[in-house]
Amino acid sequence: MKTQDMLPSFSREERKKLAEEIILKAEGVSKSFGGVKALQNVSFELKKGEVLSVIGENGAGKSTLMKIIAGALKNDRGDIYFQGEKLSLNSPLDAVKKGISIVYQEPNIFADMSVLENIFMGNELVSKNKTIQWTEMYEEAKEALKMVGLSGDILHLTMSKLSIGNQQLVLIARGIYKKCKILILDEPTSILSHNESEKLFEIIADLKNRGVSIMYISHRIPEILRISDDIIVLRDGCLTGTLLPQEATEETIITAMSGRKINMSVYEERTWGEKAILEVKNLSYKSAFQDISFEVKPGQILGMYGLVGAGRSEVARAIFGETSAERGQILFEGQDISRISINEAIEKRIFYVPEDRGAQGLFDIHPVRDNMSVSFLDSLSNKIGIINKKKEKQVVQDNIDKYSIKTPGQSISVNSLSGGGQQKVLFCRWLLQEPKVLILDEPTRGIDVMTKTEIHKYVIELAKTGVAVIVISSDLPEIMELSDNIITLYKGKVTARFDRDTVTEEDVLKNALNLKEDQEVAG
Amino acid sequence: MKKMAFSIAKSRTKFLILLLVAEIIILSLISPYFLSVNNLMQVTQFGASLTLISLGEALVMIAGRDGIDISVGSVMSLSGVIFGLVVINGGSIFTAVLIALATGAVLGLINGLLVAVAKVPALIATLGTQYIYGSLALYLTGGVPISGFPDGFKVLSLESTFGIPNQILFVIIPVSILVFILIYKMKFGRRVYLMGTNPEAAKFTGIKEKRIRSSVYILAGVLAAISAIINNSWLMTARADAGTGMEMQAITVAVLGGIAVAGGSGHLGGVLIGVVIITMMNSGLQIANVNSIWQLATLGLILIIAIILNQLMSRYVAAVEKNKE
Repeated sequence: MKTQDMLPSFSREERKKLAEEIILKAEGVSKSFGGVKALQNVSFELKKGEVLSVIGENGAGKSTLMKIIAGALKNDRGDIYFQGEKLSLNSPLDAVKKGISIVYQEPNIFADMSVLENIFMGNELVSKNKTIQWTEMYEEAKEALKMVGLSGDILHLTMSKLSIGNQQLVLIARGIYKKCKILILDEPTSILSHNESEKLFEIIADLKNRGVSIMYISHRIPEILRISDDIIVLRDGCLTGTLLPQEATEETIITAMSGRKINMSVYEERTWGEKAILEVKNLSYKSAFQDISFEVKPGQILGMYGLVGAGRSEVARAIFGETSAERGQILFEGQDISRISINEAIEKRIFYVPEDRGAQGLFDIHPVRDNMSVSFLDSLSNKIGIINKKKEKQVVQDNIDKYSIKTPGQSISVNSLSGGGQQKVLFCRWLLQEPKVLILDEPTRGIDVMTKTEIHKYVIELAKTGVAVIVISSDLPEIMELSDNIITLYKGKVTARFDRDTVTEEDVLKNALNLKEDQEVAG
Repeated sequence: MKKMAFSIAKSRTKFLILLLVAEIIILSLISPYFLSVNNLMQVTQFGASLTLISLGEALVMIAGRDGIDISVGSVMSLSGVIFGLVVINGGSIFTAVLIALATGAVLGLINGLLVAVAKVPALIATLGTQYIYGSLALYLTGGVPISGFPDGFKVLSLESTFGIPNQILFVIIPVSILVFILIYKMKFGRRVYLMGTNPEAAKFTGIKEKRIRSSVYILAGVLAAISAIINNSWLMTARADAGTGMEMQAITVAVLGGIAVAGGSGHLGGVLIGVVIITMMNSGLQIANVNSIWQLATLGLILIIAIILNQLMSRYVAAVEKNKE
């Protein structure tokens, strides 16, 4: 068979020998973004023909590590050795040329181009006079597709005609058509159906037989236990454990992932209102979320925990009036607000601090002042709409002092502030207007620990004054720290509800990952 | 010295003032007549229409989402023609002014609805309306300029008070001041800038994008209509091609004045200086007896040189600031 020419197949004995051979070795790899340490001193070894799984919570540093190996990021410190030589990559293409390919979680495709063009994008076969050699490319692509179990007939189709699962497979084919030595798969099964996932596992087994090493990122513990030869666990950018799948259980993995952190507790016992201020009943919207129900009382903090893509932000946006749910009801102070607009929500003093600070929050080139006052300009203006700039300056300065925002002045552009400072500015936008319901979406993502604790304090203070707060976060300790009640979301459905007094981190994580999927029906 | 160079490089306005001074020196060397009060006053008249149209164009650009208004020239033509028709059909100048302004507002509103509500890309929407408004203007006049305005109408653009042309003193200056108040002192202007920088973030703060974006197009339409009235008085005729090419000049001035095509940045002050630079250049070339064929070429040259200089300077600023760190 021709495929064997491209990637040799090995017998069991040969594989055993290969497994002794270390293809990739990381020593003390560290990486910071601004003040945030994304990776600290991470060391591990990847052997030839093995599947090494990398697990950890959102933000633990998995993707950063993979991007460094795939040449998309550069590490600040530490060394990586590839086949015994020090690896120095300047671009992802560099990595591909050496035999390191990555398939990202979101299929990175050129939707309107053909499958063939997608496979060879940026790496076309050219003849001496620089013309593209379509015939040769076609033959090579056909072989590559065969390895992932796809027929060569699809090569001329545009990428968008394929199902997401098949697009994923094409990208894997793209990754391995050359003499690929390391294939990195970033949560490949998160968008695949059960059957497609099974197919992927077969392909992985086949690639292993051919001596390809695989780095596998996933949140799904059962599949990790099934396909891995080795497991490494990351937490807060540090390597916290190396596990063998034969010995590991769901429990040991979860404990290694969540761990116990030294955290200053800011939580305070409070009392809250009798009647719920916000009730969400059986809310559904397309494929984003289904049958979501919960309620929040004045002064209560509800934590909403789930993986990215579980539908958390979508629920928040429906409450804030950015989208209207298709079915179900949202009651605010007993009144149906399912169909309100953002402006009506703001009038009712339901506020939302979006998750993406840069894209959804900040007006980056504009001063701190304009960024903060934007949502209460009405209260700073006279009848015809002229802004009282003196008053504006005063109010903004008061907030800068009150929330100790580190800035040389309020006229400086907001993008020169640290992430924490920027988040505080966004927070201040709404605080002055006496919120009734405040939804905080990832309030401390990428923020240093000190500022994080400060922001947590402000949230508690706010709840003490009777504001109903919903905290959406991928940061489990944050959810545990702040919430009076917790709901977990998985694929758009509520999988569990917890009370602060009885909840454990393990329970929350288990339900957010829906580990009981097989035994119980979610909901 | 180095500090001064840095401050000029950092501020577009200072750079434009420097460019203007250089231009004045060069032009007065070419012709001593250039700097006479008489000539300078005349020069301002040429810039009157362009000033208002450019302010409108700049605002549309500042409001973001690749905002642009290619139709302003046609809006100027059409509202000017309608003004003329009202007058020669026995309407008073006052009625004609009101109808012309209303025309500008309605034409602007149509642009605004197309862009903000129907979500047609601004370039396409206003290119379409440019043709439509232009055809309407031609149809209404039959291609023949409308003349026969009452003699008193000359007061607006052909006479002056204290040596300052009336249209400058009574229209351009007060209208510009109003626009500046609207943009730099009021909520509306603040929201235009913020929305232009990041429409997504604007949505989450409750800024009503459709309303504000439509208002900006209406404003551009009304300003074009005012330009039309001034122009009618100056020429004492209403022509269907009065505004032809004005949109391109306005875009040129706006870009030269530092308005970012991406939206959200640039100051209207720069636009005003831009108008002065371009108007002076046109007049200077005439005085220097350069064939008017070269006017547009010079305009293009100035635009390109200015932008290259500006980019070089931003690189310089970035380098200096990096060194500081």
